[in-house]
Amino acid sequence: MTPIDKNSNMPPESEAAAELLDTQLDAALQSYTVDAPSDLLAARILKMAKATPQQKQTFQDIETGNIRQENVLWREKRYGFGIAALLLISLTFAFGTLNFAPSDTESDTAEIWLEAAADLGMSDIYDWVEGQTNSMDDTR
Amino acid sequence: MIYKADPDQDVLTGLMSGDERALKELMRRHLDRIHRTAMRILGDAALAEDVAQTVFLKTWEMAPNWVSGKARLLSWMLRVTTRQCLDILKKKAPIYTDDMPDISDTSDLADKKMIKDDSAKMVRKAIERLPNRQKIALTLSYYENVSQRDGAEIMDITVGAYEALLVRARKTLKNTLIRDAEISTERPKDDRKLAL
Repeated sequence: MTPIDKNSNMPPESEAAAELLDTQLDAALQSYTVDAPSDLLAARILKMAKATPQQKQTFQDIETGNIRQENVLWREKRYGFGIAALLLISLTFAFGTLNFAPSDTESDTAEIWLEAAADLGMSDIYDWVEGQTNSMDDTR
Repeated sequence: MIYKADPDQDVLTGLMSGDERALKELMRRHLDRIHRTAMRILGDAALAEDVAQTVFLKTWEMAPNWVSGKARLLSWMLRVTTRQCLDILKKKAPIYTDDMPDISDTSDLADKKMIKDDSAKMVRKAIERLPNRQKIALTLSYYENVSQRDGAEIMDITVGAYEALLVRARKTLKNTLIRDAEISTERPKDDRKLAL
């Protein structure tokens, strides 16, 4: 290779100088050669390849859902999240339904309860409670 | 981009079925080239061998996943090679970037003086000091005869950007070599000036 001559570093506007420099640069680049790798490298790669299992999962496998074992854990986690979300929705719905359900204290059911209480002889207690309430109102 | 014919298609079939003879054949065809590319980018024989080993093992490991017709095997391998090299270079010398200003490097004058008559070493040093991406583009196009279209694909950039990298690489390299030549001839005359 011809070393790049600093004297050929003519003003940049000189096309001839630029061309000369390009030629010199090409020659310089050609001089840089690289030795071949050692013979052991190929043997080492082969040995390691024997110990390295190929990834048998293909793109077709991924598309058909035949995913590998390590993905099962993630799949189970996803099911867990799904179940938790379903429970949360159910609870929210149940809570809302209970809150907005109409009270049945004034319905026929309430009268049935009153009749049952009277049958059991609890009318005296009701009278006593009512009496207590009235006397309290009178004292106010 | 669809490639109709991959020159390595015959080897690929063997690789995909886990045939070690196919791996041997692939190494016979491309090991030198992959190693050479890594060596020129990294400037370190041991690291280049590590990169070549990684590239071939990745090719072996991932072969069953290969989708024919999307890229050439060699282009893919060169892409893995350049990415591996970039990773190493980022860890090794983070100061070199594409935006590096043209400032004279006077830090290793003794080294330069020592190699002034050894042109290959001089070029090697100059290439080593190129910004990483310029170095890769130059190595692919100049030394490996990779077309600009393939080079751009390997580096994952546009053809225009790749061409610009090549132009900048040649310019930077030229300036560096001229500067080195000047330093090696001026130093005996004026040590004090160059020591600045």
